[in-house]
Amino acid sequence: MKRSPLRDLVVGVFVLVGLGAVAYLSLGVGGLSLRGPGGFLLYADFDELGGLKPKAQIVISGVKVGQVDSITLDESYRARVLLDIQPGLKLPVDTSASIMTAGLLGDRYVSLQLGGESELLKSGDHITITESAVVLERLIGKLVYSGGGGEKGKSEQPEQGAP
Amino acid sequence: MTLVRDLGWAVIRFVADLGRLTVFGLRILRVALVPPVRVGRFVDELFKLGVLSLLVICVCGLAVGMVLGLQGYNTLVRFGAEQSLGAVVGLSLIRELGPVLTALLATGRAGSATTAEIGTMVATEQLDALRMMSVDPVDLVVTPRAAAMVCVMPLLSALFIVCGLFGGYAVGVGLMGVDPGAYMGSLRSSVDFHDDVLGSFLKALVFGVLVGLIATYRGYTATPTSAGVGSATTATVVVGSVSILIFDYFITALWGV
Amino acid sequence: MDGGAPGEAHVEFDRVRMAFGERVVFRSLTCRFPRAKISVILGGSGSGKSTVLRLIGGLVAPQAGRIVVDGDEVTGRSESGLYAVRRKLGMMFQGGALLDSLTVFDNVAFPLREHTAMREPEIADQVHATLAAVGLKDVDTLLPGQLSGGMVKRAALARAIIMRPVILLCDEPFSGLDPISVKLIERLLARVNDQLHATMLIVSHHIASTMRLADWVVLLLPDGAVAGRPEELRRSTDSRVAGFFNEEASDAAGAEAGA
Repeated sequence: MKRSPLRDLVVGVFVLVGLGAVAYLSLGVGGLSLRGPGGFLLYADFDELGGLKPKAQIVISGVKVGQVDSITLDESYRARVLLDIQPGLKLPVDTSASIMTAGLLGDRYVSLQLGGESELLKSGDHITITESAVVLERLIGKLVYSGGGGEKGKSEQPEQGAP
Repeated sequence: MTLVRDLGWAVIRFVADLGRLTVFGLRILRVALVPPVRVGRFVDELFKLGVLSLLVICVCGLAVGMVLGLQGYNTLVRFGAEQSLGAVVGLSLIRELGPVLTALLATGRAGSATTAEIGTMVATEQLDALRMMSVDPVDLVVTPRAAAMVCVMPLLSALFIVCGLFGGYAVGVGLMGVDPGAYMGSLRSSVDFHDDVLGSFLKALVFGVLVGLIATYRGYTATPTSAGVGSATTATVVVGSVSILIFDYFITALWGV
Repeated sequence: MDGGAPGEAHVEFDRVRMAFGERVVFRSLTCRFPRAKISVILGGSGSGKSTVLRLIGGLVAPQAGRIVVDGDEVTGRSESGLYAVRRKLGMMFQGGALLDSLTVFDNVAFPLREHTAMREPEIADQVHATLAAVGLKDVDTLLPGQLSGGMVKRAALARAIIMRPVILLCDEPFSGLDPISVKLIERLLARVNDQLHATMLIVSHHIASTMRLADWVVLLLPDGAVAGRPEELRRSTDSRVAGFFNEEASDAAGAEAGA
């Protein structure tokens, strides 16, 4: 047979490179995580998600610290978001969570602002201070119906992602 | 009217051919699952179908990615959304262009080569010689090739996509000035493993089965003349390409549900 | 029509009807091929000579009739049943039909590797011995595409006999060869018959060589077969038989004169 060990080696390399590409697309790009949710899980309830999806980023001061694991409806029909956060972070119990937008057409993400209390959140706790997503249509509606001085009407929502 | 009658016969022949193709496929499956397994031949075919297609796949992947980068940028910039270029290039490649173009290229290169090889073996009585030596030609010649095609397709598709992502990056970030962080960020956040990547590999797998089956079947049933082998090879490329595109629609429709 | 065949019948055709679609090759073929002898199958083009060999090997199935090979009925067998019969057969195809991706050595070793548990050194010995027996030396690493016509035939013969078949089928072993190679193959076939005592069935156009080799001749004519010893047929008064030999003789003479 013209079988040469060199050929077998080349085939092996090809398969490895191919599998590497598969792994990159699955894990690196597709965001598949091989571990289940990590150790540090927190709940946050919102009135309006505005398009927040599972696997959305969780960010502190602009740095990614975790991702949204799952979203369900709680008993009072608010959106209960399960946050999968890097273990080891020290978050005070009055930490707040807001849903922000990245860019004009960008995706929603959750931004955490640390509070000042000394007691820390433990895995399974709820973040009590939450700020729902800004939905553009409602904002415009408010603007239109508040009438008159435009500035007063729309300054109720403090933070928004930069357009 | 003879037109209706001819059309009717054409349909009947088509369905009969489809039936024969299915039976052939089941035969390959039975041979593949029952030991002994011809590893040596399988590895040889992995080389011929996979390694030898690498250059074509990578070059075309790069080119397609670059075009996507260019076209994507030119369109997105009108809406001020050029920072989302990564998402556009990535989703196009992963969901459609990667598996479909890879399969079409593989059909043209590896598929036609397989049909020609097997067809020539039929024409020179090599398959009959195998039968006379109590060796099943489907076991020795057909199954390793079909199995290799199925295994190779997802790998080549992944490589095509990665080259394409790089091409899009090179044009978008390198040429058009998109922010590298934004490119990779929008790519990562818009691509979902289950919806996009998994579906992409599923398509590549299905296309591999299609091309592997059609290419070997056409070769196996070729008329044993040089004209017969030629027309079988052409049939592989035509039938294979059309099947890929039709199945692409159905998989996209069903997977996206 | 069957004058006393020398020895018992090893292969028998009983009222076999063979047709490819509309074209009937033979309507009712009955003939026998004696054991351990060289039988030659003659006939004009399209008379079904090669088809006879394919029927014996089970590569095609007849529309009617029975074919018995070495005591086993071949007709009506499944593909796996046929494999059992084929183990006893060796076939030398017209174009050699060597596997073109394998070297000569690997081609001749192929049956051994597939069907025996012999180890590589033993296989190498047997392959070299068989290649030497057919007069091929130093061809181990060559591919079939690199061989001359005569060498291809000899390699094909080596592959056909390496498993010591009880029946050897040869489809046009002399076709496409120059006169010297034809004589070589002729001698080889005679020697194989001598040493292996295999029943040999040879299909050929080459009247001269086949008549020299044959112990038994089966002539396929449109309305049936005429069989007998070579001398009997050559001297036959049957107009069809005489007509066949005259035609072939004048063709052969014409070919030699023109050569």
